[in-house]
Amino acid sequence: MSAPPSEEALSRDWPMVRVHPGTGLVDRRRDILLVVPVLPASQHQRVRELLDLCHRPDPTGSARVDALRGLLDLPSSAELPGFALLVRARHALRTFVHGPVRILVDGAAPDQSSARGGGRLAEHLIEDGAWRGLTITADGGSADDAGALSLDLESGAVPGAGVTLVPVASAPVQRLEAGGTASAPSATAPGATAPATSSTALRPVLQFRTVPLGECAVRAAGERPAHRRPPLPVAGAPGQVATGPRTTGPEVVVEGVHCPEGHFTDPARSTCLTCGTPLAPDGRRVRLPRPPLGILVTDGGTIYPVAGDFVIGREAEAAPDVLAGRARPLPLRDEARSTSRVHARVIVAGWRVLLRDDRSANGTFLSRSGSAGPWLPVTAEAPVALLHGDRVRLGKRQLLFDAWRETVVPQVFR
Amino acid sequence: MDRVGDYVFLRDLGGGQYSQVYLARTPRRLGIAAETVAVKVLSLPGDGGFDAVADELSLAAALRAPQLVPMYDLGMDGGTVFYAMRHEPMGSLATPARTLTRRERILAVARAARGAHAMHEAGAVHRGIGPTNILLDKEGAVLAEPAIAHLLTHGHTLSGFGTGAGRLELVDPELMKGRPAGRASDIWSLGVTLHLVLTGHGLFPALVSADPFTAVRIYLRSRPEPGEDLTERERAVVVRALHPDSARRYGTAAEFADAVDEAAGSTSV
Repeated sequence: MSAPPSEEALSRDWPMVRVHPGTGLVDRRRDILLVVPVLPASQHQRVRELLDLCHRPDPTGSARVDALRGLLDLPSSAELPGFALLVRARHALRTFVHGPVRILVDGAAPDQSSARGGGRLAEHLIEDGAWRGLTITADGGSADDAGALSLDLESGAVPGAGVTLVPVASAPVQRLEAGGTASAPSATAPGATAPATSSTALRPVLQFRTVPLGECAVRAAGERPAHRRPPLPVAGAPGQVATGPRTTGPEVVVEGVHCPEGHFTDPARSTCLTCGTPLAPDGRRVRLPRPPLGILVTDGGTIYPVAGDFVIGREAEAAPDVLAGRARPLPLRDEARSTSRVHARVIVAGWRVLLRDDRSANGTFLSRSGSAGPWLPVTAEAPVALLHGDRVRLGKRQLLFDAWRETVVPQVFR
Repeated sequence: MDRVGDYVFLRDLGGGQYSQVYLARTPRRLGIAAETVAVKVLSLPGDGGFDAVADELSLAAALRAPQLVPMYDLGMDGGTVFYAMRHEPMGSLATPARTLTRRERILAVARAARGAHAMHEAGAVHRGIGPTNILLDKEGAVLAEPAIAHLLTHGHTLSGFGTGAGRLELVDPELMKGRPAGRASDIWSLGVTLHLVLTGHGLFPALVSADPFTAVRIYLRSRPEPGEDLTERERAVVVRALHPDSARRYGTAAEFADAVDEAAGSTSV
């Protein structure tokens, strides 16, 4: 990843960063410094997200901070530990503080006149040249940096409880230019008291979260019994309906009739959807959960039982209706990007499976001849009811709708 | 990829439809004696489904059934889901490290069925039974971890093409009607697996060269045809496990295992 030149230039103008020993996190990268003085184990994942956000390239200089404010507006932000983020600006440091973290400029809180915005993310602009020492610690933590390592954190993530920043001009020795080799500091540092420059490429140790399983879970939690579920039902056992016409999605109750074979089916039809047996014209109507109405098969071989609405497209998973749980995604992609992000929709209305285009770039087409074509366009305005055997073309991809008629039970199984 | 979480990979052990498996050094925090573990890294994004996966794998792992592969750890690194389990160097029924006798293959399927039964009794469905997921070990075999891809794909999809674990006929056709997975669908997969490891071919010969649309149409409308190269007992077990009416299959995977063991008793080599 190549940083924009301005970011790179800014990264050279940093004060010296001395890390206070501790179990929190100090992360320095290009033009930013993130300090999380206290880091509970339960919040590792949240901090990982915070790090990812801060590490994004940001040519505009504001996208990251906007994203950070967005993150803090989420309900889950309560799980974020306190942190301070410093962003290098042209002639100043922008500081952002969330939660119980304290910034001291020359031993005092930053001048209120430098405050810019508040809320969950307090921002200050600290002009270059106006200060000699800047300390970041946990609220109530010691501002004494006597224990701070005599090293300048140039880049990378290290454990720490806080930092002390010293402007380069007032640092006792000239800093190396960024890009100095690892062996250079010892060669040029004039004395033992002078801080050496260090650069780290350590991976942050809090990159992942884990859940112990099996014997490791027992070791981690003691002999605490895991959550229990009842045994699965046995098909055909008395009082059990092991494979009833339930679906895995939420049930939708519809009006229908029972065919002579006992299948719950569409009352508007003359024959049963499942077995094709003719229906009595005056069958008693009942309201029951709707069975699945067929399957959609992709040309890649993935099979989707049709029990509710679908969003079909290149980025179907990200469609609002999918995220809200109102529809399931049916992702269809290809190298030529011939399908639109949201290309078409399948809507299950009563006993009918409707298909409509969603203003896709390349259109949605239907073939009812049982083969590939002729293709009739499907529009956004007039949904088409899918019938057994229909083929649908979306860009260069295809789907097959199969309403799945019961097969005759073969002789060998009788 | 050379690592995930605190697992450092030693070598690649192979891949599946949604995953890659690596041999990795055991992190000390696990507190287990084995120096290496197998780590499966999923290629599906983990956001949203991780808790459901943790729930499903915790339940299966907590059983600590001798016929189920021991699992140690589930994790998420960035958006990548991974989990660690015992490394089984002897291969699977699909790719055994050495040639197995017919009797060994039958008994391996029976052991896998007992592993599935332990899960069923605990309220869980395996969903991934097939020759690639029956791993060979010193005791005979263990059943690999349950399938979890459906928990990460926002919905109930069935993917069944190719020749590995995703083989179409390993999926009970009842599931394509949207029926929930359960004992009966795992028993279907066990029956197809038994047939595959005994004959080396599937029960739906017409599927071999068909494109996906044709294959699904054939699969939903044709009858399974058990091979000629089965003993009468073996054939009877396969036929009952694959009955179109799930209520007429074996009631439990343990009953299936008993029948398979019995069939193995009549097999000399």
